[in-house]
Amino acid sequence: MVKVPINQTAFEFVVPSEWSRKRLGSYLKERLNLRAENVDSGLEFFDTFDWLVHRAGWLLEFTVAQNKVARLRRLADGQVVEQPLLAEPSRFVRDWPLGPVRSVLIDIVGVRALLPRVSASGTADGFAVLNADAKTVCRLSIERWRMDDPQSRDKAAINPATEFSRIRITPMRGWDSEARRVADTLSGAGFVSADRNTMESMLAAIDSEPRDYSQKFTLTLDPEQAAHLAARTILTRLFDDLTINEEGTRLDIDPEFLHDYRVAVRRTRSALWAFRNLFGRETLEPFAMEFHALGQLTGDKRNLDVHLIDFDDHLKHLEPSQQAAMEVLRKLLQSRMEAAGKALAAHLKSAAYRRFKRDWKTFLSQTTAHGPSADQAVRKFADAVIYKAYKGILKKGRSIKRRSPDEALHKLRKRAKQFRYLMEFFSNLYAPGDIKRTVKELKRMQDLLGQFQDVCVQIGTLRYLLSEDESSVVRSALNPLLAGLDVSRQQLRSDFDSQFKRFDSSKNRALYAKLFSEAGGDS
Amino acid sequence: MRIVALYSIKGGVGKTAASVNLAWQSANVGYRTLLWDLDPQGATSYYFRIQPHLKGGVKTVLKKKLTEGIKATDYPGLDLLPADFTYRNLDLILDQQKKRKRTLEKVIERFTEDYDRIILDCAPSISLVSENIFRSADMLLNPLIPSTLSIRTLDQLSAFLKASKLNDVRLLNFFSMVDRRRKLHRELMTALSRQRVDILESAIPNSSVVERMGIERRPVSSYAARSTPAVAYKDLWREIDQRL
Repeated sequence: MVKVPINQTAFEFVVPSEWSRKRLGSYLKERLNLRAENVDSGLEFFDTFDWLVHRAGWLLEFTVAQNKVARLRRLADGQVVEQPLLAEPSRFVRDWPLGPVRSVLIDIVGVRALLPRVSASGTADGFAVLNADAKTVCRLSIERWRMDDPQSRDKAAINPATEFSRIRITPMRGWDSEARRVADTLSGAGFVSADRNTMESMLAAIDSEPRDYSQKFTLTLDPEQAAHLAARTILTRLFDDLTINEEGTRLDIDPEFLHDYRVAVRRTRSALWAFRNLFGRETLEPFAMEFHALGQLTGDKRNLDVHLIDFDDHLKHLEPSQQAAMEVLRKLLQSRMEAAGKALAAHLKSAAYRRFKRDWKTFLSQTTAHGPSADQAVRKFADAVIYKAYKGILKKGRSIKRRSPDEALHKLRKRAKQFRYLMEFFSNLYAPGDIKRTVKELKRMQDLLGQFQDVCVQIGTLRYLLSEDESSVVRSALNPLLAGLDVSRQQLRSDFDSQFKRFDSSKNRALYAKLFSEAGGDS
Repeated sequence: MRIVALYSIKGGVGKTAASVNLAWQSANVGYRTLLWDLDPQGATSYYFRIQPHLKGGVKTVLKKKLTEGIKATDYPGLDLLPADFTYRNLDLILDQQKKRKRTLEKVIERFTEDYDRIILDCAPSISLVSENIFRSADMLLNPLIPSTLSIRTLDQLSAFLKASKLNDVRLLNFFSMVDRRRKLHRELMTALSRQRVDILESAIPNSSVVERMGIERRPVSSYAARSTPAVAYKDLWREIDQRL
């Protein structure tokens, strides 16, 4: 649960459609001591591309008035957190000035950019509710909004389902009872509390519902379906994931688009490898090559993104004079990252890429396949292919000795990842508890391999920087960092042996055999 | 979080007006600001149309529920912890504490999460309360009327800080209630600015616009945004903030 800095539950009431703005204004003025304040002409709703704010149970709205306010509303209980914004806010919350909205958002959105999702036009007449000393004790606004339909260019076409009116009472710190008294006055006059889901139904009416985009891979497959058809369903879903992240990657809106795009590419590559017996190696080969090339191209940009993020972490440990020397290197990294971004964007706009996508789509829409396992029932196919991949991991892991190069661990990490992808593709064919139990030790091993990889990447970043600038300042700054990282690397390396033993225990092996081998047999 | 204490040994130097207007400036540039009215006279609270009253009186200062006494002002980002007449006994309360000179420092720590800037409007005197404030504040801001008496109190304050081994306290002074038509004011300002390095450049004029605060009961910038004093407070805040 996100901690809300200051407790502010706004009260909202529905305004019946027969009440005009003027009538309502004078009605309220008779009963409350009001002073007119600002008038707003629009609302903008922001969220990340994957609706992280909404998924965390909040709605983020910005007023369009001169004195812009960022307002977070918790959908479950109507709790409101506000923060005045002095300038146009950055799309990255970490760049915002400190404040209650920022504190809530920062943990929810992380590095993702906030993007405008929907807007509403209309008016909000703001009033200060005054006490006997003419002190403002809460704020009240009479709001009439109509959601702007992004699909419709015809602004005059009014969809009554997207219109809503509300009276909002926003309490102020230390004056809660006064806000409650105003709310009681309105309840007493017969106004009904607004449904907290008003906004959600508005979004639905303009077909802008929070999209069900998630990194998590879930698909429903029929166990008896022919394996090649199920495989096409999986590949199609992966292609959707890729397409959905393409524009954000090309425009570099935030680093997560590229990250998710790359995950889609990697998953597809794993799938192509696992599905080779369904479609035949020759059919898949040209596509596999394209996806491999995409992996490389996106990898360059991603590596530099990561180098830059690591760079800031390393900088914290340095003396000011060393930090200054490092700034030259940052600029270098920055310019390389931009160049890699441009190259990637150019490729994503190229005719060759469009052609590849067209061909891939055509392949996905076909309904026949000539591979030897094409018509096998998908559950049987999944059992076999997963168990085979599992045995591959065991073989690889057992071959790793204390003196093996780090590269061997990286290869095992990749294998384990591919294996997890396979389990995700077919997860709905198995009882959820079964998969969870089976992957417990695997997950631990993957975490360890992941940490090992991170340390190696950081070492790589520092070595890369050293190769760019061999001055004594940079060397004296980076060498101690390198030494520290190397200690962690060796520690993880020795932890790996015991973790792999747990993964390769007879008890754990029995779990895999039971789930994938006994039913499907070993192929 | 940074803490600025508006402090003067002498009364009637424009300290409260400065607290109110500087706190407004701080909130206006985007800092979450808390103004704590520590002066039992409660003039700061009055300027914001807030009753100078703290539930439970001065004893609440040492309790957790002190934060419940915080009241929003009419201005976004600016909250006030009102004065209470029983604050006149704050010295006695602090004297009973184990770490009597550092108690307020602990109390202020409770505000760390909610605020970026805390402005303390302190009562004029040298007392245990002031010593507590000297130890908690990042900056001690002393309004100085360009008069011989006022300058004498500055010497007293400097001597006191030295004698109490409060060498770490960052004392900054600014000229307040300045009348540039008066030769004495001009001469004293020039002379003092040459002698001391802890005098800020921005000076607050003696103006009827500031006096009107008592009638308007709000910060100068909210009713006379373009007036000379409003601009002077803005410049003064900028200078202070650069040094925080």
